[in-house]
Amino acid sequence: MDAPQRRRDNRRLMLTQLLKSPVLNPAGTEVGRVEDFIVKLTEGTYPPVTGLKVRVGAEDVFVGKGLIDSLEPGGVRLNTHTIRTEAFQRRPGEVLLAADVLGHHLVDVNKGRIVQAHDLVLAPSDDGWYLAGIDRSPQAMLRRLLPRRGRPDLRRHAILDWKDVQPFVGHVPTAKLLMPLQRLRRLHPAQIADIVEDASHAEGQEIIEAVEGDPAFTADVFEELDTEHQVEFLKTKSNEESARLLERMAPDDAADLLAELDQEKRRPIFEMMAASQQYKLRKLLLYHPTTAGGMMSPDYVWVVRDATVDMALEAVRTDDKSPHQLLTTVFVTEQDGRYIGSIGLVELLRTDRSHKVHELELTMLSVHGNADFADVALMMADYNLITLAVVDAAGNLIGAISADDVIEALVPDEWRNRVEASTGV
Amino acid sequence: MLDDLHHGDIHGAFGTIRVSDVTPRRTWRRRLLTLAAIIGPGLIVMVGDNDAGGVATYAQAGQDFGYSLLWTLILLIPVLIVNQEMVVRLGAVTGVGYAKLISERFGRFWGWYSVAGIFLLNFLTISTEFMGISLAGEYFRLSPVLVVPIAAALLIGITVSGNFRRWERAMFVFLFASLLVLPLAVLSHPDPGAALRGFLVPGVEGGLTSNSALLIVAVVGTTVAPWQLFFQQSNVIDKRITPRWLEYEKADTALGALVVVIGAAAIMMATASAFTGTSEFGHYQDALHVARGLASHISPIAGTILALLLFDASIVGASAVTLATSYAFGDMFGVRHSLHRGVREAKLFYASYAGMVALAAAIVLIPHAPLGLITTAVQALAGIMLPSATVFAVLLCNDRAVLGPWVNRPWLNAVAAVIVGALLVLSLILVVSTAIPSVDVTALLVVLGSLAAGVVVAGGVWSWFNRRGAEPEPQISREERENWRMPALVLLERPTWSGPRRVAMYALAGYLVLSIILLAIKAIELAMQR
Repeated sequence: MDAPQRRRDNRRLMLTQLLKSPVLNPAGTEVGRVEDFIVKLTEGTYPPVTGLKVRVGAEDVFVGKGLIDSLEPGGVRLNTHTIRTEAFQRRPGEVLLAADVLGHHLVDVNKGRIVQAHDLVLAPSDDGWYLAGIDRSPQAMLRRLLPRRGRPDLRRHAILDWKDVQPFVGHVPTAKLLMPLQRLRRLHPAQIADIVEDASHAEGQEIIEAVEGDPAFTADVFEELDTEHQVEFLKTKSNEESARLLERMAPDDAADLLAELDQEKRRPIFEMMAASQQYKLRKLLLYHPTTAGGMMSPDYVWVVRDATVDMALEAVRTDDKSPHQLLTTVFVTEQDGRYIGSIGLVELLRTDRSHKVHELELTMLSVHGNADFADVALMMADYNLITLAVVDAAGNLIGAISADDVIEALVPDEWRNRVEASTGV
Repeated sequence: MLDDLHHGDIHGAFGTIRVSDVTPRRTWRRRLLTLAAIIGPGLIVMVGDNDAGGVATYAQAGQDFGYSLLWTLILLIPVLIVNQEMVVRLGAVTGVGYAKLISERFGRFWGWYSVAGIFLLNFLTISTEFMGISLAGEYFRLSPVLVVPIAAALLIGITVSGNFRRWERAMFVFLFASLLVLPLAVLSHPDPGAALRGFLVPGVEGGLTSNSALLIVAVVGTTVAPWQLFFQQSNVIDKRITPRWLEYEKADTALGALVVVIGAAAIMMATASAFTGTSEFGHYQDALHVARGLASHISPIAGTILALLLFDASIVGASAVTLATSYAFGDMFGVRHSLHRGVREAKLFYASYAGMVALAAAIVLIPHAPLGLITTAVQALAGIMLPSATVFAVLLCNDRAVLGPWVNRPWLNAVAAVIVGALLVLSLILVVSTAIPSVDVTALLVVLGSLAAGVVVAGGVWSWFNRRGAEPEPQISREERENWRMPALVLLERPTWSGPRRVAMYALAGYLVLSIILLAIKAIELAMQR
């Protein structure tokens, strides 16, 4: 770290060091006390401090940043004797640091978690002070509780840069700014879902509204949410909107969610969905959610028996519906849809491209749609399968299960607890 | 709601069955080990039935009527098994709770109808459990202010662990404690001849009177309670029992029914033996006086055992009844509910449980609370609601969309119809005799009984004719039957009811509402007289 940087760092201040401290005029007499800091939220940069909310007598007064001479721990010095005594008002686009941000939740868009701003870091620049970051450490909270003189100086640790966090501003009347989707995109949908689950309802709603700009992304987030939260956020949507959302979700997740809705809404929403999606969902809904039929994906790559290896590879190349885990296998059926067998992508790549697929060594295993989870797991384990075909009573191929679905269900609960304990979440 | 935690390994108190462990059980050793892992829901639901009210009622039967009411217990075994077997099947095959299944298949109105009474009844029942606890404490000269909060804390503690196995093990500790009935029965030296006659010959000492008829209703009402249906269906799902293990769970249920009847019979015989020929015979007061009577007529140990039994029964009963309510609550409000979840993950489920326990405990501690009234109300309400709760089980068990090849066989429907008829008659007797105390109960029993028998026979003939005209059931292989689970599609919408069924159901609902109003008026009258 170079010298000027360190000097500048040393001039950083914590918000809690400044709150309630005296505001002095050039002569050194106290005119009031610092009540709050006002910043302007701007996209892409650090929010500049635009002024102070100062308590003078019994009134809150706005002091613009032009009047501030210096900010120091324990005191604010003004460069003027006269401050206009106009009452403080919130202005559009402005946020109060102590009232709206301090102690509130923020999204850490780097790590994908919710953090609490136990303190805020202010830093100076050539054109005034700006909000540089937040302190998420519990020690900062401790510091807030201690008397000001006894507070240890912990400025250096556990500071999150403002660029890596995103505040919730739904509760700020003048914020006028939606949470920008762009920043949330840095996170995996599963991380966003975790954040929504940890957040309060209003905060979660804010995130959901932010991602709504991108329907596909919204569907991804919904797939990862737990059922309770899915239902909670779907309640605020119209049937039409719900149908569009369910359409974009993976069919098995959509089927599970559909079953959790109020019964009166299920059929209307189901009927508003696209016909092709309805058809796929119906296949899943014919089975109990914990059976092979309920777990399977109705989308998979398949060719009929007379197709060549080249055609099979082309089918993998052009497929845009199946989950990625299932693209490793091509399923082979008769002309009428009866299941024959399956073959892995690697075997296809290593074979002469002009061969017919039914001449190859196919894996003939399959399970019935009613097979329970144990049957599925055992068959995949015993025969070292990464995908497994699901057939109906007539032997027609209706879907496929991939190993990741099985692993997910096989992981004992205690393992998850261990992961949580070690990461301290 | 169906939770991702509702499938996975079975963690029973006495063993684990891995999800991948599907090999057929060919040796008896393996079968017993499997049974040990599965055993639980059936035993708990049955023993939870011998709760404070149960112990008091059996003691009353013994003290007032000697050995002469033992036969009622024998008759209760098939009733218990048939009722509970239906919900076991429903739970394993559908994976959906009883309250949820009712509202999905019959609509929200019927869902609420079936749980509203249960919520009230269960809450009052939990209060009676705490009364039992405070009476047991009194026997040992412990103040209720001390005993009741400790018991409440114990109840909350064993459930809020977020671990199914821990909960089940804790319940089994109390189940084993309830085996104290055996030394009690031995200590009291019951008269074997009189006991045998009591078991085999239906009749009542001193003839059938209004009092004895009401006590018979009370014995039935306290042994076969509506909360059991809600509890066992959800508990079977919570334990992750699938159709693969259905036979073992049925065995568990039958074993539980046997245990409950043995326990009840032991208490009845002990009190009968202790009080026969004494001045207190026929003058039952409460469980505390029974314990003191046992202490003076048999031995101090017998009194202590009965007080301990009362305490133990109250804890098991309170835990099971509260859990049944929380399961139903979760079903109706779509809240995550599972003993597999920690407190943080299922806050509402555990909060409803803890809140109910705390409130019920608080009521018992209120000075001059009308505890006697609550006890009577519980027995009356249970008696009234039993038939309608069972009717839903029968209807669901005949719903081919829900149970597919697992639907009730005709003979089971016939047995269930007889049971529902008998329960209806008993509940009517209770209602009428509570509303009009001067009514001749014996005549009422004869009239209603023959009426019900006529209706059941007519219904049987009618359905037999209907069945002959209907197309035969689709034939499916044994393996397919074993694997059949309820498809998700079934819950997408609900079937409409035929005209006669709708009329019958609304009549039943009307009867329930009417009788509750009648009983409420009666209760207010009683309270005013005090």
